[in-house]
Amino acid sequence: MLEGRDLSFGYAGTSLFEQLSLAVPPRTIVGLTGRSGRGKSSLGRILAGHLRPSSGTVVIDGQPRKCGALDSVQYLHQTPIFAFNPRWRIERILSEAWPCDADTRRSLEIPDALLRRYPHELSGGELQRVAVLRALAPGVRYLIADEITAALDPITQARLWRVLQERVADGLGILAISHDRALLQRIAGTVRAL
Amino acid sequence: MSLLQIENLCLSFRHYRGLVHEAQTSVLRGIGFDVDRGEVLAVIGGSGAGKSLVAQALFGVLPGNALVSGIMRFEGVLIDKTTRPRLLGRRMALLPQSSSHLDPMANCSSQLRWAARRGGRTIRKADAQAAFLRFGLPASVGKAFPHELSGGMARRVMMAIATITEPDLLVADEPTAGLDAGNAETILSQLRAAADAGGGVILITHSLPEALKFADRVVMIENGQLVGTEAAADFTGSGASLRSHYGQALWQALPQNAFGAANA
Repeated sequence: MLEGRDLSFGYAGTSLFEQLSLAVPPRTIVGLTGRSGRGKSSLGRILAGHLRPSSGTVVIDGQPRKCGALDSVQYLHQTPIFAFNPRWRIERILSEAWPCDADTRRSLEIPDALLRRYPHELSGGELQRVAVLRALAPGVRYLIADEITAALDPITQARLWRVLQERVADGLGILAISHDRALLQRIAGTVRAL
Repeated sequence: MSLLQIENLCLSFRHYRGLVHEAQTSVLRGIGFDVDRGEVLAVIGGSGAGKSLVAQALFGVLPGNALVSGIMRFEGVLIDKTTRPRLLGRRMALLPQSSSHLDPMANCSSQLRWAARRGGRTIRKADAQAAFLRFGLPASVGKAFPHELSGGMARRVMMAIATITEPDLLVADEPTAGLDAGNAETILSQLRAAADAGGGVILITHSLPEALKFADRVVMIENGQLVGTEAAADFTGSGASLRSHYGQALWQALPQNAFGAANA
């Protein structure tokens, strides 16, 4: 179980949230919604270890996260182009994370031709699938999905979530951050408003 | 006569492959649709489908390596290099996607007055304030610089700038991207109001639910091609009255419907 305990956080003297606790169990999608500027993404980044909370702790199965190894919590960006090295080909971007197996690659519909391209030569949907593939390394047990399909058309959105839902059945836990209440109602077991 | 007619619009980009060889990548093929007065036409497509390029082709703001062919007519008059100066900012206006289109070095009031002057009108300070007020902006916005505005306010300032010359055709490129539900609703109702007042509006968006709420017709673009034109009212129930296969797939893929049961 991925747990944030009594988290507080804010920018420049203003507080975004205080004493907030949130748990993401394995095999579950937890939805997180709320108006712009309420701190949804900040909370996601804290759980993924990208930001340090001003107080409180993040624990995985009751233990603090280990440094220096692959983090079992991975963060997925709303605009994946910012999460890639623009001067690397997709091939190198993926192999830096893990030697992706053909089955996972096929399930995310990433053909060989895509591997030779640079990030800016991919469409938004293709980029997000590459980002998901990169994050699904063995050992990753939780994903923080921050508005990952907000910029995608409904068909691409449904396909991507289908793949993630299969992974959840196999044991993955996901925190799905979204403005789209209909989407969260469809995919998430519980929805938390911030 | 339609306000705007687009026929067989094709677009490709020229680029170098290696040092010498030139190659062309085709990004739009055979796009065609009409917009009438009083109508909001939604142009829907995923990212990379080419929907913003249609707007850029219309306004002649494509990068230099773009090759455009096809016919675009405004009230029957061919839109080209010679007629554009009389149309842009006067008869047709673009509401750009990002607030980076505002001048970071000038306050909002000056930018509004410049837009009016470029469109052949001079406005006084009071007119500028009235224009901001129409979009729910306080008079203090006039003195503010773009970096002092929130995303929703910046979008409304751009709306005020785009509509200051009362254009007949308004093209809004992803006007709600990055806005919360309240701000998005405000912008979209204002676009609807512009159409109801007798103008034509093109709403470029990737969000089908948003388009359906405010548009009369929906044009769907996928991989640079037109894959269907539907009446917004036909997106209802099981989607049986939708004529195009893509329209049905899109409707079925919504989380509030079957979430992708049909194959695109």
